[in-house]
Amino acid sequence: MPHINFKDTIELNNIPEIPDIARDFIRLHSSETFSEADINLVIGKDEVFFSQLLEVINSDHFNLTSKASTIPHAIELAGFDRICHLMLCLVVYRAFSQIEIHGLDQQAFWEDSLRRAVSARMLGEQVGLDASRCFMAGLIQDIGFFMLFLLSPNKGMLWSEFRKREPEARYSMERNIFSMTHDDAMVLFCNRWGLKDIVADPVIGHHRCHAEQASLFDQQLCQVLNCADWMAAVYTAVDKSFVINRCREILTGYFRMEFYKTEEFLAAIPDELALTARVLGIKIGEHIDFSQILYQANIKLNEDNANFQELAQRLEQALDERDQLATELNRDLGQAREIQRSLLPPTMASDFPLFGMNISARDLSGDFYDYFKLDDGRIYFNLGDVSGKGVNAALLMVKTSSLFRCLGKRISSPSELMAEVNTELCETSIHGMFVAMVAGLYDPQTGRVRLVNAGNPPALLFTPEGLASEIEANAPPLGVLADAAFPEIEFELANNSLYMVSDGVTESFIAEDEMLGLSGLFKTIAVMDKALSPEQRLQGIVDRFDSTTIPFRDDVTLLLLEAR
Amino acid sequence: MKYPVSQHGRFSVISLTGEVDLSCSPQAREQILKCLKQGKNLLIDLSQVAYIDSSGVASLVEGFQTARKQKLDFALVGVSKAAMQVLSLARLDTVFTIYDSLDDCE
Repeated sequence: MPHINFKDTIELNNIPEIPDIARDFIRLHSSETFSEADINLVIGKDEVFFSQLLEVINSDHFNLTSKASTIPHAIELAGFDRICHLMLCLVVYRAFSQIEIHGLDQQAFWEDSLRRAVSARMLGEQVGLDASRCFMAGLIQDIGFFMLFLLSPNKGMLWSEFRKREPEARYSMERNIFSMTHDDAMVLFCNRWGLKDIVADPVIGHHRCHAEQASLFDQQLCQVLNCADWMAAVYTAVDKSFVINRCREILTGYFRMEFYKTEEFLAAIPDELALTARVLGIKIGEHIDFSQILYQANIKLNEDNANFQELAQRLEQALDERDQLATELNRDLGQAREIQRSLLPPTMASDFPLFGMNISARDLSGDFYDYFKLDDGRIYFNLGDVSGKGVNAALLMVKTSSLFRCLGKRISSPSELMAEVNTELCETSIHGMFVAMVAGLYDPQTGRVRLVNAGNPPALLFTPEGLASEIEANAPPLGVLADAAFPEIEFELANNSLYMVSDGVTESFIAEDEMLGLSGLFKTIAVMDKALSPEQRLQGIVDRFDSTTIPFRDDVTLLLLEAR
Repeated sequence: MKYPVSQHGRFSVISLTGEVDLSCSPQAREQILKCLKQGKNLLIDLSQVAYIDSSGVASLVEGFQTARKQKLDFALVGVSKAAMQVLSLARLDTVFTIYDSLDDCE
């Protein structure tokens, strides 16, 4: 048996002593040799009690083959074990049912215990255990529970709270409230009454049934008592549907009962209870039919179901709202994209020297290109790439592009123009965002180009023969350093082609592990048919990307300048 | 991901590692700005950076700009080849103070 520690403060004196007759009777039961005279000697000490016992033994309920005239006769007919178990039930009931504990309803307590005993007997019959032993164990197993209140009488008011709970919840509540469980208290009781031999370990350990238990008997008794706990709780616990389901699990699981029989089995308890209570003379409350219990359980289930349906409805509503928001957001994004596209310059007539292309990785692009004619016929052009992606990048792109176009109409030096845009961006810089940009001014009259490369990948100048030179960045991106200088590189365009790209082009994948890179871009352009239109040639570069298997990670922008 | 921070003389050192892209540059940014807010001179160790995209570079730029406003020192150290390629392509190598190793930082 488990060892327990208990505090000195608990009221051990409140525990009743075992009556002499019970002690003597049990002693005879466990001794090897005894005579009828020995038994009669014990009976003589309390004839009223033993005549009551004989009455119970002779009731239909006990199911003896013939009526017993005396206790020794009954022992002969039914066996000493059965008689001893029954005697113990009556003695325990007599000893404890008279004790008053404020808050503990004695009648309800014994009704619960008796329901547990009846359930244990029914289960014992199922697995072929000694039914009278199961009944006794079922009746007195919760003496430990009663003991908890005896030891801490001021907690009696909590009894009704315990009663509403299912067995496992009750068990952990015991630990919290009393710092011990009814199993622990049961040990105290068995020690005090000397019942070690007659009350087996499983009675005390029925919340901890496990396969390694000493014997099959122990295992079975343990499961019987555990299941009886749940069966009794069907009638007392608040969450009936949960307890009924647990009962069904154990009955179909351990006891291998067909599912349809479990209801019949549970429904048999009230009649068994009423009959047994009458025979033993234990008072119980009004008859509760299993159908009433099922009705209550169904109400709970219906409530749960209603709650579930409400939850489902709210979820559906939330999903609708989400979809609606997504639609609105998509619409906004679509409009933003449209506005952004409208900021890109229109495709000009085929004799116009510039052609651009922009493919965004997301709805909104952080890349841009632009070109516009000044009054004197010179043409400003640019290709920019905002750090980062998404809405932030798109907004900065719009700002930079607008600044360039607006200031470009009155500043005719690319170097000064870039410095102005840079100052403006630095003043309002946010999150370190910057803009890499290659920009220039082309004079169709003279064929001269003044170019600035602020942090963009090199611009590539190709001769008609396919020879190329790089024009690397000679200034940091815009928006980084307020006092940065943006020197111009001036050259004659002649019949060469100036290719400008964002880093999305050189960093696009052309195979699983291979980016196009600057050298790849060189090679691609070098072998192109010069007779192709600018659009066809830029498309030829984009076609190299393996965008069918690897989606664009970055926006891709290209701009081509050629004299026409 | 949280990047390791250590102390080197009068500098706090934040060591960025692996791929510093859109998925983890916000954390890098947060750590950089936190150190600067505490008035620390800052070194960013880029020796273990395998890839840095423009959002990662933006975190460095913001650190650079914030430090400048607060008159704190801000420098990059041990810049890996991959990171240096990105910085020099954008001419940002001319913007940042760059040290080869921690030993070069006094």
